Amino acid sequence: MKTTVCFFLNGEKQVVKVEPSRTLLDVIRKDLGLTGTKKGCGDGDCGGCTVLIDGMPYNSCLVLIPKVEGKEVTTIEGLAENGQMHPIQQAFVNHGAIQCGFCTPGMIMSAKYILNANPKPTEKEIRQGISGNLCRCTGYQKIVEAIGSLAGKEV
Amino acid sequence: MKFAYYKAKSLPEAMTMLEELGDKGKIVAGGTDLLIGIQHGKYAAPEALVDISFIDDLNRLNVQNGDGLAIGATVTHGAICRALNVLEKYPALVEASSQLGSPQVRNLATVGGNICNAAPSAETAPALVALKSMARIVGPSGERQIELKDFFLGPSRTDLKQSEILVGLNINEPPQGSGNAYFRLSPRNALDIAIVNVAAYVKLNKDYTFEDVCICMGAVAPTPLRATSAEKALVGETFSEKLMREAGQLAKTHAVPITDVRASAEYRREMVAVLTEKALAKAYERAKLNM
Ligand SMILES: Cc1cc2nc3c(=O)[nH]c(=O)nc-3n(C[C@H](O)[C@H](O)[C@H](O)COP(=O)(O)OP(=O)(O)OC[C@H]3O[C@@H](n4cnc5c(N)ncnc54)[C@H](O)[C@@H]3O)c2cc1C
Ligand code: FES
Ligand code: FES
Repeated sequence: MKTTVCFFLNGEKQVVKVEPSRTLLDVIRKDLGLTGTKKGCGDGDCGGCTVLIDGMPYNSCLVLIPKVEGKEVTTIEGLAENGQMHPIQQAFVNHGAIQCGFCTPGMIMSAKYILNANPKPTEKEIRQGISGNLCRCTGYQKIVEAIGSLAGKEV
Repeated sequence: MKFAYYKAKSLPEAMTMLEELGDKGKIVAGGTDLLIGIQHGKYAAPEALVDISFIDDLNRLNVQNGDGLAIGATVTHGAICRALNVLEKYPALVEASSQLGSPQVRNLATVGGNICNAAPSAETAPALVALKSMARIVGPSGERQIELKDFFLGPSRTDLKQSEILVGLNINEPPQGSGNAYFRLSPRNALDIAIVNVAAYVKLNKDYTFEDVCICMGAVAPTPLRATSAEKALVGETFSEKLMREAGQLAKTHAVPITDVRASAEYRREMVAVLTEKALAKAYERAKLNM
C-alpha cells in the first residue's frame, strides 16, 4: 500500500505518494527527476548515492523512503547557487579531481559534511571522511587535495 | 522488494504491531543488513516491517559516572563515534563502531542491529561481550535480561523469541585498574567486514598482576567466542611479551574458523593469536594508566 511522505529536498517541500519499500535514491532519481545522485551498487558499498540528511551523510540506496519524513535532504543539485558552482565543486574542477565524474556527486556530498563538521580537516581526516566513496579513476589524491584546499574556507 | 511498513513511535506500540503481525512482521532498525539481505534473496521478503529506529527511548546513549553505560538498541555506530569524549572508559566499543562499514553506513547502522543480525564477524560483538554487557529484551511476556555472551546461538541465530525486541545493552562501569581494547583485521580498512576481530578486557591487582581477564574473538566460530583457557592462564600472572604470546596461542586452540573468499581457516587461526596478543597488550597498557 502506498504511503505519503513529506520531506524537504534541497530546501523545497516535496510530498510523494509511494510504496514504503522504495529507497530514497530511487524516489529522488525516478519520481523527482534529480539524477545527479548516482546508483553504483545499490548495496551501500560505493557511496555514489551519498546525500545529506539533516546535514549528515547517508547512502540513499539504503534509506527507506518513509525514514526521511520531515527531514531535510540535500543532493548535489542543491549546492550551486544562481548558476554559480559551489566552492567544493569549483575546487574539484580546479584540482582535476574529476575524471569520469560518476563518483563526484557522492564525493562532494561527503566533502561537504567533512568540511562542515570540521573546517580544518587533516589529510587523514579527509581520507577517513571519504572512505565510504569509491573512485575508479583518480586514485583519490586529487580529490584529497581539492578538499584540503578548502580548509578554513566557508563551504 | 515490496512490503508494508509501520513506524513505531513507542515501545508499547512496537510490541502491539509485532504481536499483531506475528511471523509476517520483521523488525527493522537501520536496515543495512535487512534490506541487503532481502534484495539478495538471503531472506524471504517479510510482509511488513516494523521500524523501531524512531523510538526515543531506544535512541539514547546514557553514560552515568559510577553507574556504567546504557546503550539503546537503535543508537547508531556514528553516534557512538561522536560520543568519544563520554565513552573514554569504553575504548573497545568505540574502536569497534568506528571501524564498521563507512561513515555513511555508520550513520544508519545501529548497535542493536549489529548484535541481532548475529554475523560471526559482527564488529561490536567481541567488544560488547568482553565488556560483559547485559542484553535487555522486551517481549510479549515482559522484560528479561541475558548476558550478551549467551545471546548468540549461531550465524543469524539469537536467543530472541518471536516478537521480542532487544531494547538495549547495559555495561557496568569498568573499574579503576582496568583497560579494554579492540582489534580487527580486514582486506580493506573501510567497507569490508573483519577476517578476524578480538576484544580484550583486563583488570589488574595493585601489584600489577592480572586479577580478571575477558577475551572475546569474532569470525573464528559460528558465534563470538571467549578464549577461556587464555583468560585463566593470565589470572595471577604478571605481564610479559612472552606471556601475551602464550595467551595468543591458547586463544587459537578455541578457534574453529571456516575458509571463505576473505581468508582461509588456517590464516584466521594464525591471525586470531596475533590479534589476541595485541588486544591484551593494549588493554594492559590502558589499565596501567588507570591504576
Ligand atoms: C556497505 C556495508 C558495510 C558493512 N560493514 C560492516 C562491518 O564492517 N562490520 C559489521 O559488523 N557489519 C557491517 N555491515 C553490516 C551492518 O551495517 C551492521 O551489522 C549494522 O550494525 C546493522 O544494523 P541495522 O540497524 O542496519 O540492522 P537492520 O538491518 O535494521 O537489522 C538487522 C537484523 O536485526 C534485527 N533487529 C534489528 N534491531 C533489532 C532489535 N533492536 N531487536 C530485535 N531485532 C532487531 C532485524 O530484524 C534484522 O534481522 C555493513 C553493511 C553494509 C551495507
Ligand atoms: S549505490 Fe548506494 S552505495 Fe552504491
Ligand atoms: S572520477 Fe571516475 S569514479 Fe571517480
